[in-house]
Formats: sequence, C-alpha cells, structure tokens
Amino acid sequence: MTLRRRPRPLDPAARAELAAIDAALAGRPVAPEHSALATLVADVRATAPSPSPELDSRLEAGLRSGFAPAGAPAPRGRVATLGAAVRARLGAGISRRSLALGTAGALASVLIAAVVIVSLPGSGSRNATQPQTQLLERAAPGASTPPPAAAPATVTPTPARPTPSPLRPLPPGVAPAPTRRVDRAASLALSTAPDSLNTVADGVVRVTDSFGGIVASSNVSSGRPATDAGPGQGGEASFDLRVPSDRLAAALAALSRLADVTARDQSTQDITAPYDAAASRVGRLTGQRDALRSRLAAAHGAQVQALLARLRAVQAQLALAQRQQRQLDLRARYARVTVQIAATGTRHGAAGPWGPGRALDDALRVLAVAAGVALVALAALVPLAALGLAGWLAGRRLLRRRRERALGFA
Amino acid sequence: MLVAVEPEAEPGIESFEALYRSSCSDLHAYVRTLLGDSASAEDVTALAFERAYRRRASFDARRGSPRAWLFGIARNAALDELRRRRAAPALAPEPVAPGEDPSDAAVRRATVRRALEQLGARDRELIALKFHAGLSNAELARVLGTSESNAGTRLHRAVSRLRRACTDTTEEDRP
Repeated sequence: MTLRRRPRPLDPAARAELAAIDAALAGRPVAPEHSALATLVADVRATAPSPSPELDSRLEAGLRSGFAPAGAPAPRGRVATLGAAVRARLGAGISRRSLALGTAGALASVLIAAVVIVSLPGSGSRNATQPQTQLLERAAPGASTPPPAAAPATVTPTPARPTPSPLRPLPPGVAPAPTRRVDRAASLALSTAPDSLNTVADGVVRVTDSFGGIVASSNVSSGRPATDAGPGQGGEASFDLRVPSDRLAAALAALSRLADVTARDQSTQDITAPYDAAASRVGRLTGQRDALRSRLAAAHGAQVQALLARLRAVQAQLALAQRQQRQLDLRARYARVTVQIAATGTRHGAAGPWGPGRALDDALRVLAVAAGVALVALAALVPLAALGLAGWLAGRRLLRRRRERALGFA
Repeated sequence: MLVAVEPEAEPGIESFEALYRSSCSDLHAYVRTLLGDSASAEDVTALAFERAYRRRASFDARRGSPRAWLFGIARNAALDELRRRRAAPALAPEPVAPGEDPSDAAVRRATVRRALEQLGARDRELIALKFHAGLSNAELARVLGTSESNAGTRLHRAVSRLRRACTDTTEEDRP
C-alpha cells in the first residue's frame, strides 16, 4: 500500500504570490511587492509558442470534417450530422474494443444460459420423463382401468367402451415369439385441449387397430369444451392396449403424433425361464396323463376308480399348466401399452384449432422462457462484468502510472 | 486571451467549436512547452482535439470545466508521446535564435525561455498549464488528478524554481 504524503498548507506569503499570479494573468493590478512576479508572468506568456499556420488550417479542416480519420472522405449534409451523432453516441465513453468485449460477454452469457437451461431436468416437453411408479400402472389383462380418482363436478362420464373379447390369433405378418421371450410394456401420457379429447381418443383406437393390436380396456371422461368465453376444462381418457411386440416402436411413434407427449416410458422383462418351466411342466403332465390312460384301458375292478381319480387330478394340473404357458406366450407376443390422455385446457393438441386464447398462452410461455434465459444470462454476466470492470480499473491505473513515470523521465 | 465557455451536459458541435477557438493556442503552447519540439506538439495538439471531438458526449460538467477536460485529454496524449520517446532517441530542444530583439524585454524573455528549458518536465508542465493555458488552481487539480491545495503547493514550488533558474541564467550571462 502506498502512503501519500499530505501536502502542507500554503503559507500566507505563498498564497499571496499565487493570488498575484492569478491577478496578473487576468490583467488586474498587483501589489508593488509582486511587480517582479507580474513581469515574470508577462514574460512567460510572451514566450508561449504559437501554432503554425499549417496546424491552424489542419485543425480547421478537422473541425469541418468532424475530425474524420485520415483518408476517410468527409461526410456531407444530413449524412454528416447523422454520422457525427452516431460517432458521438459510440464514442460516449465506449471504445470499439469495449463494445466488442461487451458483445462477446453478452453472447457468452446467453450461450451459458442456453446450455444451463437445456441441461435442466424437465425442460424439454418431448423427452420429459416422470417417476416410473407414476407411469407404469400395469393393469391385469382384461381388467378395465379404474375411473379417475377426483373428477371435477362438471365432468360428464361417458360409458366405458366395450371390453373386447380375449386375444385374437396373431394376424398375418406378425412373427411368432422368438426363442428368448421378453415381456414389453410401455406407457404414454398425452396432453390435449378439451375439445380435442375425443378426436385424440379415436386416434388411439385407430392406431391400435392399424398395427394389429387390441384395446383391452378404455375409459373416456369428457370435460367442458372450449367456447368463445374461454378455454375448455377437465376431461381425461385412459387406454390399456396390447400391441404386437415387434411393432411396439412404430405404434408408440404413431401414438405420440396424436397430441403433445408429456411423458413416455418403456420397460422390458425376460420371461424365458418361467415360460420354459411352464412348458416342461406341461410336457411332464402330458406324459403322466397318457400313461394313466394306457393303464386305465387295461385296468379291472377297483383299479378303474382309483386310476380315474388320479387321471382327473393330473388333467386339472395339466390344464392349469397349459393356461400359464399360454399367458406367458401372449405376454411375449403382445406388449402392454398404457395411454393416458389429459385435457388440461391450457395445452393444445395437433388437431385443435388455434385462436387468440392459445396465442396469448403461447406468448406468455415465450415470455416466461425468455425471462428465464435472461435471468440465467444475468447470473453469468454479473461475474464477467465484475472481472471486466476490475481489469479495466487496473489497466487505467497502470496506464496512469506509466504516463506519470514518462513525465519524470522527460 | 481566454474566452469563457458555458459548460453544458453534452457539448454540441457549436459549443465544441467555441471551445476549440478559445483553447487552440493555449493548448498548443502547453503541449509545445511540455514536449519541447514543435512537430510533435502540433501532432499531439491535433490528436487531442480529435479525441476530444469524438468523446465530447462523455463530458460531464459536474467534474470540471470544458477547458480542464480538454487539457486532461491533451495531457494524456502528450504523456503517451513522452512514453514513446523513451523507446526512441530523444529530440534535442529546438534552439531559440538569440538577439533578434535587443530590447530589455526580449532579453528577459530569452532568459525565461532558457530557464524553462532547465526546469524539470513536471515543473514545466505546471508553468505551462498556469501561464500559457491560464487554468485556475481547481482546473489544474482536475487535469493533474490531484487536490486543489496540492496543485497550488506544486505550482508555487515550480514558480519558485523558475525564478531561481531565471536568476541563475542571468548571472551566467554576465561577463
């Protein structure tokens, strides 16, 4: 730290001499004891060098041209005024280097903000995921989806669609289950406008049929449709689908195009071992049944009743084992897909009309995102600006020291 | 002759021209005294006016008079020139032709010139800012970046050294 020596106050004589100098410079009379000082003032002023005529003409030309850099044509008329104004504004304490540094800093901040926002969880609508426990509510085959827990008062429940018959045989073109048997499940959450709920629900059925799948159960509850007075409210639908496993990806893609996807999840489970165990049990029980039938053909008297009783028991076990094997086979051939459609009244699907209300909604969302970007950019810009300011102040101080040192060497 | 220039928040072209007219000779005299050669002084004077014109919107009347602001810009430009000279060979002071005017005043002025050349650059700068540019002590302080009392103290010391140098020069000239 540099300690500066505080200057001693001027003594009265020195103060009087300085006042005499000021008086002499202003052309006022001075006291007789300061006449020599007044003469010195006059002599020093008389030695003041005068600018040459060349400098005078150079400066006059510069003043007329707005001190344009050498080689640049002098602006004329309104352009001159405008150019001078722009230069004055740009030159108002902001050099070109400072402007470039500021712009680079702002761009870096916006870039950082964009990276941060993109990396935040839940920031993207298409790739958003929710906890698996919320998404994988697996219904047993053939069971209908339970109705919504808390339906609004205005919701009018519609009759559930008829539950289709048990699984049909595989349609032509569907490959049989591979050697490794895998149970696939997927869940999809869609969001749409209330007045588009039925359209999207019909689309789910249509897509399922087109891929050779089955609607195991469905439930659609319509809310209040949108009117001129305001957007619609409420309404939801749920579907429990079975889709051929080898077409699951394409079916999910088609379903996702029906409305805005708010969540999507998939899971797989290898069921090869339980299937093989069921098949082995079926084979063993089949052998036992055939053996009992042979013995029954040759039996007499009391043996017949005993063999019949054992045969009935084995046949019951065999039927159970065959049913388990069939269920595991169907789980491998058909994937379970749960589709939930929510009509929120604020989000809109691809099929809904677009009007002033939605435009306002979109505008508010854009403003919210822009405000978030600006906030993150500001958070990144403040430290950068502080560093820049510290560097600028240090640079100024260093430059000033160097200039004063140059004066000492002169 | 000094012309008072009304300070305003953002000097326009008209007020800048008035500042130029009232300060051009004084500014050149100050720079010339500080640098010691006329060619560099003219370049630095032109550069100072160019910079002042470009930065005229940044002038703040609350921080000092337009003259102090202009001389501050000129001082920085002159000191930058002195810094460049440290790397390059120093220019010799231009000789002043003696005896052009045999009158007493001419002799005195020649003495003053030689005494000024003997002063250090800091004292020479103070003398030029005060006597050539006619700045008040407050304006001196603004240009030098110091307090008004410190500027007054330094100015008084510089004047005392100038008077001593004039006396010494006169005695050396005596046969």
